[in-house]
Amino acid sequence: MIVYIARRMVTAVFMLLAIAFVTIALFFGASKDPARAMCGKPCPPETRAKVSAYMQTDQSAVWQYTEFVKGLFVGRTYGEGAQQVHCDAPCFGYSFPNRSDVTTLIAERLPVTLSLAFGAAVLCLVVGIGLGALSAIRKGGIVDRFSTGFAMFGLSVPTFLVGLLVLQVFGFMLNALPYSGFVSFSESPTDWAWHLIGPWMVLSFILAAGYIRVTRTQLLNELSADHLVAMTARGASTRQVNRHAVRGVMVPVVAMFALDVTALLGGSVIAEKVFSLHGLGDLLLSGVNESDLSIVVGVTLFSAFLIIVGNLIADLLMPLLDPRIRRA
Amino acid sequence: MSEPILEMTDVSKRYRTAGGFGRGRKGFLAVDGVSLHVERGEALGLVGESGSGKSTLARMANGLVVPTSGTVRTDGQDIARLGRRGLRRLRRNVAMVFQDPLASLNPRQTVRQTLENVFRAHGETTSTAELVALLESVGLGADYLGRYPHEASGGQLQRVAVARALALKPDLIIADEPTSALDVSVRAQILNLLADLQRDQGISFLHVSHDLAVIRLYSDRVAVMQRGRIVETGPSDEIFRSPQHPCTRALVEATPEAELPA
Repeated sequence: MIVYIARRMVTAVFMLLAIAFVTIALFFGASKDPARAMCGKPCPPETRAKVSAYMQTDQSAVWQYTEFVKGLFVGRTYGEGAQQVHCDAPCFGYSFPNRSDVTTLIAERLPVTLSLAFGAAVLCLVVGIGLGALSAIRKGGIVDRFSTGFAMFGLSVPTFLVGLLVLQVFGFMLNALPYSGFVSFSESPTDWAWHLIGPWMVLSFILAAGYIRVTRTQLLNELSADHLVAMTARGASTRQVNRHAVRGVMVPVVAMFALDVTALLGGSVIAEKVFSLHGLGDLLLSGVNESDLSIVVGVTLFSAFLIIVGNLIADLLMPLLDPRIRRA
Repeated sequence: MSEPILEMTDVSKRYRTAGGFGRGRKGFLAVDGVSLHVERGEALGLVGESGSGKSTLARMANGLVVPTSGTVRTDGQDIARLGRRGLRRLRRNVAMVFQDPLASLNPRQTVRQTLENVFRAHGETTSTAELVALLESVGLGADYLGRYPHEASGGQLQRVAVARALALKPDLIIADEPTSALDVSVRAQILNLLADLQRDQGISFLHVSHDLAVIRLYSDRVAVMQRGRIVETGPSDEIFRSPQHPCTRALVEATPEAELPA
């Protein structure tokens, strides 16, 4: 078990290094000069060259990559003398537009993304599994028809549209919810939740669709499964049978949830934009807009790391839920 | 003679079909006014082509299917009058073996857990020794306790399914095509096992099959079903020797001699 986890973690490190390389290579393929955004207006070629040298963006992608990897272990220093900036190891890069190292920036944004992800995840599980289970139990009933439509809608409507609709209806028309901003949990838990209800609704609505479908199909399969009929035939109570059915449903739901949660933790670009929340998604977007390599690489790696960890946790949980999936 | 273990009187089952399509709005009459009985210690074979209502009829014997009309008395009790608890108690005494052992055993449970569930369902506990004895009675070793269904063959799994049926010592076993999902080579083994149980433990059997050869060898009496009705009943040998109804004749003629296990 421990060997297995260790082996997965070692693979993960190589995977992340590969992802870093691809990200850097793609960034330099985009032929946008990061120095331009920083050199101000007007921007004579000499100044631009100087800025470029200072930010070290005048070098090749391969050089960037080796510097990046080196920075992880020994830190990185940009510029000289009075203008010198140092980024301590492990250095994931330094963002010049933000005048801060990427690790700090991610740490700053994390509470927002975490709050967003937490609520959305809980809400989508409750709604998704709840509606899915109810529609399977009363197949063809009112709840089933409603939630099938609901899921269809959730799967086909883009996030930004749902976001804008929620803003329009609850924020502007009903004046029921604040339409932007973030209050930290430690400051005021009620205000925190109050400001996040909108984005939670949007994200969980989109995500719940998948859970409704999976739960419904899976539970229908389980409930008609021969081995549960056999249990009933041998005298098991409905409750005992249902307990076994639920376990069968858990496997795909857990697998799906692990991926969704990690995706949420990596930042939700669109929902954050619509509700003006400054989370990781927003950070990534600003990094892209300002041609800020350090941020793009940093946030990408962070998300990738979460996805790898999420998958690992899911893989470790699977054998507990389904003993057929045993050590490889 | 004591009361039959199973007595069905004029039972019918109508399945509602979706929409008003094909068979019309009345639905599909799977079982049409059937009466039959199984004496204690007797093995009754129920044969018929697929779709003739055999399985539906068999499932009405333990309340898995509720008849549209008619009465079913199993183990001396009118099934329609048993509540949920009563049905559960009845099923302690009336077990069932299904067609596909791989499907009828929970893939996420070991043989041990599957067997223990039977005891748990009736609020009883069991010991390893008891479970081992149960497995031995169906010809399996103690090492099967820790196995998952995918780690055993079809024949072995059907033995496990029989062991599950035998737990808590039932009086009647409903076997719904217990060998049709198995290889011909292991078919005879399972059938012999069931025959031994009937002989040694006095368990009654309602044995459903589409294979008259199987029924002939392992049943005392045979009932032939066609389109929801019983068209012929009688002692196995007689039915086989001089089938009266055209349907029975067709079934007898369709039975290849080679398939008979000596």
